[in-house]
Amino acid sequence: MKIQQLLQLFAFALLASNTPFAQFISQRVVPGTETPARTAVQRLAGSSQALHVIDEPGSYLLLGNLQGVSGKHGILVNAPNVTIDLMGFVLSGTADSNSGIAVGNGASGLVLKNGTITGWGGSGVESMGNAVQARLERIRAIDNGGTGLAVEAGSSVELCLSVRNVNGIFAREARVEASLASENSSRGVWLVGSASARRTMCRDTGDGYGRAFLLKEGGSSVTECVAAHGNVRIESGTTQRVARLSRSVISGSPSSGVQVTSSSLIEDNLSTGHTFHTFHVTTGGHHIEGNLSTNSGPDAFSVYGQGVVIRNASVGNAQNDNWDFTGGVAAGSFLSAGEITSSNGYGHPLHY
Amino acid sequence: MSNAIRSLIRRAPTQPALVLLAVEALVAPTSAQWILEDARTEIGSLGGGPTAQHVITRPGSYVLRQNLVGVSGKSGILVMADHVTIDLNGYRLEGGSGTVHGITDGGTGVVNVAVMNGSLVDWGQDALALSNSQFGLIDDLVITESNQGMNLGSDFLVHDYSVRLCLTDGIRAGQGSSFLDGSCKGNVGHGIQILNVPSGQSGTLIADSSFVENGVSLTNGSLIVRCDFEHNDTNPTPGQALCQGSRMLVIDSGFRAETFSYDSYGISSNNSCLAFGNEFHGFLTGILTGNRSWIRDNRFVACQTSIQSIGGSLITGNTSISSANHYQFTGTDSYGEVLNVGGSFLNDSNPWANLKF
Repeated sequence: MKIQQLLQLFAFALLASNTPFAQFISQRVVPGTETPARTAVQRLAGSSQALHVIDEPGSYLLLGNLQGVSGKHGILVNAPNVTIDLMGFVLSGTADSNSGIAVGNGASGLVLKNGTITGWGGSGVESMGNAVQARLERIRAIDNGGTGLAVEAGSSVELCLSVRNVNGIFAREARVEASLASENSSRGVWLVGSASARRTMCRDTGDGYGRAFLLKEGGSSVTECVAAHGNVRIESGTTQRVARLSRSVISGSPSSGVQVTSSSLIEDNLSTGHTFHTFHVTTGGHHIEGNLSTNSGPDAFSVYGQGVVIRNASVGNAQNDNWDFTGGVAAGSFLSAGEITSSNGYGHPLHY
Repeated sequence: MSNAIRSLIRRAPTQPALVLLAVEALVAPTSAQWILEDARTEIGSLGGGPTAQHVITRPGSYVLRQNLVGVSGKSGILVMADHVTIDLNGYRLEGGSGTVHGITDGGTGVVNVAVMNGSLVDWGQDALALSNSQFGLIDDLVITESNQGMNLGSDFLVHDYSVRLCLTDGIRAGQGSSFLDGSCKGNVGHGIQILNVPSGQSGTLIADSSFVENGVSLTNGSLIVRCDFEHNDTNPTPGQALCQGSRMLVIDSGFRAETFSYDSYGISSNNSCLAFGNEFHGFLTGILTGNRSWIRDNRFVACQTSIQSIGGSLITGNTSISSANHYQFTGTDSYGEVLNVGGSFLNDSNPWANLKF
């Protein structure tokens, strides 16, 4: 064995110990660099709340898998501007543990990347309202008892998987990009306020309504996303805070494909293969344009309230029943096969 | 072990600073940095088995520290545990004659495997064989010249991928997967083929990707956005850039053919296809669509036939330029008036019209 390999083994053995040397080495300065080495999370003391507590801003990393215990979080972050590199390791909880990573008061600017958080009794990443300006990147949250990943204002979730939790990803005034949230028992992606989801996949979400994407309090958007065996629900917005669903595929919901109970802009989507309606709108303030609706239940477009429904297409739904407009909808006229040459460009093309 | 090393180990608990200085004096700084910061398991240190050179049996994080050269009759890495991250660390898994898979789940199926940051070349079967696995992350990976590139189960997030010159498909995957910011080029079969969907909607998302000399075959409920398809003159069913998709949404993508003879269709859709904002150039047929589709606001250039529908669809607001046959609609289609521009001003205000010139 070469001497260099022997020294490597020697250094690993020391790090695995809990000697003063190991603690020293975990916070030392790397020779030849100006920046301090990252601090090993496993070397940090815990508290009654968590196995390890981060109290200072800085850069931290995992030196191995972390096993949770009953009644505690894995890592509690109590300082701003903390970066934690999970280094591909696994934070494994138990059914009666709390959350994998809890974001404490004032812990803004958290960067968390590259690892798995699984089996925690609470959430994978629990925001507690504190995870503002956070960035979650390449995190896989699986089989947790609460929400997989939760972030607040100004945060982003990118290239993350959040699956088989209760809720997949919760984002309040934050951005979800290029992620996957499937087989969560309640909601896939839960957007609140001016939050957005883009290029994100949700499959097989539960709670009986298949809410792949839930948009609450207005101002959120879902763009270029796929909801498979799930649906999109928009609620609790206002006329000043309009939600937007665009350029997405919503398919195979056990309920209605798109459920709307607040002001919204819904354009250029494909909604297909649902048990009930493709678009079910129960309040005014909507603008619905450029969507294709197929292979679903009767009254494919079921729209109530003062809003605009123009230039959509609907075909092949149950009983050839495509439209049900009430309550002051301003809708384009209905064009059947052969009438499409009408000059009314805002009609609803309808063909069987 | 030398007496010097024995001495260092004996003195470590009481004189850490001295030992540290000794370590740093003997080890190059770059090596020292990863020794002290990186506790991941080196894949080369893992034992093998009858079917693989190295076997991962526990959850955790694994890293390659040098290229791995394949052995005939074996796979490179066998993953037998859930929650595994494999960082190829920029290195290469290089197969060779008689090798099996680069990385495999052994057919047993595991949950949550991530493979990233490296390349797999010349594997005898699948470079990445995870067809029985679920929930995975594939990131920053180059696969070339293997029998098949990736064979994935369901719910994989594939990002920053390049799969080239494989003898069958570039990528096969199950339902619920996304393919973002990547490319497939010159694979003999499909660039991407979605298979093994139990029923209903597959839910595939493909965005910001390119497919050259190989097409894409989908099942229900798919979204394709901002993709480029060029010269898809090989399989599937020679010359279909995007095919077999029912209930799919195709947006803002470019389809360019090489010759009429080989590049038959830009999109060949079964039914319920919404396509808008796309451009098609040089195909035998730009879009061949089944029923229940809405083909609107696309641009077709120099095709033999721009749009052909078998009936029951809606075709509005498209533009066809320099094609031999602009539109072939059946009696059951609904379509906008076809306006022949002919160099004159448009004199029809029908916004549903299709244009030819």
